[in-house]
This record gives sequence, structure tokens and C-alpha cells, in this order.
Amino acid sequence: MPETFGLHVDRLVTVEMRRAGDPSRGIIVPLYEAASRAQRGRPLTLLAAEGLTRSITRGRYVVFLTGSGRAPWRPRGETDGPLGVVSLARALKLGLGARPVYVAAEPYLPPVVAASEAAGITPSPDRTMAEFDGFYPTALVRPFTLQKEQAQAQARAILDELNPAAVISIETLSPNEKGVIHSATGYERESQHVAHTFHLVEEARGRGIFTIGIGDFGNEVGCGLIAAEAKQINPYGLRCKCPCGAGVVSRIATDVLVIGNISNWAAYGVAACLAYLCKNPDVLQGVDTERRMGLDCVYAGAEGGGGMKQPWVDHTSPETQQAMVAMLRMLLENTLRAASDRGW
Amino acid sequence: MEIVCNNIERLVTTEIRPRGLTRGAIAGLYEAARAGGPPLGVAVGQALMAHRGKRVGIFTGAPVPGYMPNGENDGPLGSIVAGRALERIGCRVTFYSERELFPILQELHKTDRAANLPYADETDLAITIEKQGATADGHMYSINANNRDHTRANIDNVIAKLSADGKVTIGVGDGGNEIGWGNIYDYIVKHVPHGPTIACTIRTTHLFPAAVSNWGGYALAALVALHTGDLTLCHDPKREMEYLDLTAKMQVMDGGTGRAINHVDGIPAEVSAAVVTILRGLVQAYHRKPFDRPF
Repeated sequence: MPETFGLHVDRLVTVEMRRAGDPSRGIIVPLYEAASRAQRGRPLTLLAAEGLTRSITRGRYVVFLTGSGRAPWRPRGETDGPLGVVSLARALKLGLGARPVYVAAEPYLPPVVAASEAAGITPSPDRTMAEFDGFYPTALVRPFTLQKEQAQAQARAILDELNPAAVISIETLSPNEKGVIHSATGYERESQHVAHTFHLVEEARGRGIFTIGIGDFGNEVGCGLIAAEAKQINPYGLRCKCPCGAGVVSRIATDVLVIGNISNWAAYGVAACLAYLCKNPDVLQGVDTERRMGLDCVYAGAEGGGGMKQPWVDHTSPETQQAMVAMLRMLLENTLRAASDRGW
Repeated sequence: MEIVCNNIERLVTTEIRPRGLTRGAIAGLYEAARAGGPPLGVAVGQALMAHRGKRVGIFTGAPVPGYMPNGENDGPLGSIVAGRALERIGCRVTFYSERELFPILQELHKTDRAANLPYADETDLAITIEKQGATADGHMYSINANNRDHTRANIDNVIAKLSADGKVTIGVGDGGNEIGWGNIYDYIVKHVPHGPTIACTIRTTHLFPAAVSNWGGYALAALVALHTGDLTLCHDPKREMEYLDLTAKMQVMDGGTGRAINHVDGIPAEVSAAVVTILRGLVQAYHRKPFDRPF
């Protein structure tokens, strides 16, 4: 039963909806299949959820990394990433009693904070608040430096301070084999625009902390797990548009890699699997919460292809995000519901 | 076209139905139907477009006396949506169904085979949506292996005649017991619950599996929209909600629960509308102009 459920969650979140002419059109299913082969053919969303339930005990911190943007076009980042972070943070909070920690560069934090508030998880930079187990759920916020020379030290400091049970990256750009970070269009993403949070993943792996990477292109944290295949699949896998010439594929691997058509969707899929394992459909946000998360995320400055203040994600409509959640919720509810004999 | 068809098919074969109905089968059925080849919608879309201006018969209907006397809502809605899209591109569409099922459609009057046979001669392309056909023992069964003989029209010989005349047939189904699944009969016998009893032997030129047969019909409309570039040929989520409310009012049953509610195969209207939304999005993305992002 879990395998069938996970398989269909994977199937749904990898339905590709990229516009014709987009060089990345047609890569999602091959990336997914490569990731699946690399992870014993198990459903990827389920694999991630199982790892989280094994790793996390009540009250433990879980670090979330996100934040992909580029001034002046997306000065507060994009909608893909923050919404997935909030969905999964909410799921871990409600399902397992974890304490989410949002880590991103300062400019990209407001959309995460706003979406979190919309989802009913109150973020705060104050650990007293983050560890409040009272009448409403909370999360911790930690801005991450844009000074790449300081990134590794800050990564170590965060892990030393919080000793998280897991580190989860959703749509976080990360370096290729030459150490250069790229956008999905093949350009270099200079360090003043992207926090080098990937150090948290590398440090965490060194300490035996469970790590998950969620991506939708190949340049994100986690895709190092399938780097050789991703280079062949990705349109800029072998050659990027920047002088490094080594392609956009990330060298950063994680314990589990999950691929979706949109990283948010893959995160929603992991949240759905957590809900399944917790036997509680409400661990995954509902359609109305999704709608509010999207709106508040863009009101805080994130952009997703529909223009400012329009909650599109990766050039797909707000209605499509809600449709995705509606389908996941039903898949979940019908799987958890006791079987009935129709009788005819 | 292969990419978008692949994604349409992944969407409509996502299994959401409740426990108590067959689960865990549709992904395997789809892979078996595809047999390692290109997405099924590539050839199906071409076949639909090749019949512009011709006569298309759409066959549906699954009443069960006592339980679903006015029929099931899975099938008619997919038929209407696919049929409307085909009419809009110039096909002359006739709907065939049992009289008790859907009064607004052309109906098949009786369940005896001879009466139905003439329909083959007035059809150039036949599409069957959630239409059961005979198994190896000559009987019809539900997916839970209950006998369905004499509860609904048998059109096996209509399909046989069309095939013998070299005409194109498209079978849309979700269980293994409908017309078209004869194309992968051996797989169903081996892998689907109750397979040896329910597996339909009737073959079609094209088989188009879906997790809910209606969604297969909506996918056919989406294929026509892909080829023509006309997004209005796609089904609409608001209309899907209206249709399922209408079928409930007309006592056309949800096959999942056997009740006159706005669900299809046990799945609420909002979720079926969500499938329609994503289908439209896939077609929209296919026709959207490419852009060059400067960052």
C-alpha cells in the first residue's frame, strides 16, 4: 500500500508543465527516472518521508534551505522554494512535532515568513518563541550571509547551535564541479545574489545528519546524487552560458534526492507521504491554505512568472497549484479511508 | 507533442480512487498498453484529427438495475466533453447509450446485439468510454467481478464490424473490463484483481487508459486542443463541477459509492475539476510562446 501511494504521488508531482520552447522541457521524467534508479527504484517522496520519520523525534530542529532570486528581476526571490519549505515545515511540525528552522539570504526570507504565517506557523528569530509549545505552532528564522567567505563558518555555527535532526533543501542553487553556481537558464549566479547555504548540507552529511535535496532542474542541492546522468539530460548539463564551461549540474549530493516538475510540488508530495505515515490527512495543507500561502508569498515580494503580486509558480497558474494540492489531498484521504464493499 | 502527451497520460493515470475499488493496477495497465512505445496520445490525437468532417460514434453507458438505474456518471461526461471538442472541429458526432442512462443522447434501444449492429455502418470512427465488453466466457463483468449481462447494451459486434471494415476505434477505460482492454488481455489476466474473470477480450485500434474513464475523455478533448491550438476545446473546471451537480440531480450515480452525489468513482467534484485545471494548463503551456530570460 505505501508503495502504490508513493508511486502515484511521484507520478502526479512529476507531470511536466513547462512551456514549449523552454530548453528544460522534457527533462523532468528522465531526471526523475535517474533519481529513482539511484535510490533503489523506491518512490522518492515516500523515501524522503520515511527518512524523516526515522530521523526526527519530537522537539528536534529541522533546517530548511531555500532562496533563489536575482535582482532586479526577482529581488525577493521566486515562489518556487518558499511554498514547498512552508508546506513541509508545517507537515513536520504538525505530524512529528519537529521545530522548523528557515535558513535563507536576508532578501529572500520575507516570502518564506509570510507564507509560513499564512500556513499557521509563526516564524521568529527568537529561540524562546521557536521552542514555544503552546497554543500555536512556531518556527525559527536564521538569515544566512551573502558573503561567501563567511558561509562555511556560519553553516557550522548553525549546526553547532541547533544540532538539527535533518537538513532539507528545496530549490537551492548550488555549485557545479568547478564551484560555480548557475541559474536554470545557464548563466552564472554570482555570490552577491545567492547564499552559499549548500555548506550546511556538506557539513550535515559530515556529521551524519539526514539530508534531503529537492529540485526540478539539476542545478539544485541534491542533484549531485545523479550528476553524471543529469549532465546528459539537462540542456545546460555539459555546457553552460558562463565562462566556466562546466555545465550547471550541482555537485552537492544529499542522502535522498526528490525530483518534481516544480520543487514545491515535490515538497508537497513529501508532506503528503508524511501525512500518510502519520495517518492524518491534515498534515498536508488544504486547498484554502495553499491559496493563502501563495498570495501572502507574492505580497511579500516573491515572483513566479505571472508578474508581481500574482501567485504563479514556475510559470504555472495559481489555480494549478491549488489543483495539485486538491489531487494530493484526495489521493491521501482515499488511501487512508477504510475500504468499503460496494456490494454490487 | 510526445512530451505533452506523456504528461497528459501521467496525469490521467494518477490513481486517486478510494479503497474498495481496484487499486494499484492503473500504472501497470498504462505501461502495458504503451508497451515501451511513444505516448498513446500521439497516435490517438492523429486519429482524431484525421476524422475531421466525418461521422464519429461515441459509445458509453453502465446502468445497473437496482443500484444505478439511471447509469453511472463515469463515461457520459467524458463522452460529452470529447464529443463537443470533436463537433467543434467539424466531426458529426452521435452519442450512443442505453435509453435509461442519458435521455439527451442518442440511445441504444435494446441489449440484444442484432439491434445495435447497424450503428457500425453509420460510424467512421468509434470511441468507447467506460463501455464494458465481453470476457473470454462471453459475459460482461464489473471490476469487482459481478456479472453485468442484460444490465446494459452489448456493442461488441458493433466494434467487431467497424474493425472488419477497417475503421478506427478508440477504447477508453479504467478497469480492464471495458472495450479496448483486449489489446493487453494477457496482462490483465495476470496482474489485475479478478483479472481472469473480468478481462475484456474486445480489441480496439487504440487503447487509452485512465484512472477514471471520464478523465480519458477529457484527455481526448485536450489532444484536439493541442492539435488545433484552441484552448476552448479543453474541458473547463467550472463546467466539470456543474456537470457533476447535474448528474447527481438526474440520479446518475457515482460508481464509487452508488449514490447520487457529485463524485465520480468516489472522487469529489473539486478533485475531478483539479484534473481538468491541470489538463488545461498542460495544453496552455504547450502553446505558450517561448521567452528568453536574461538572468
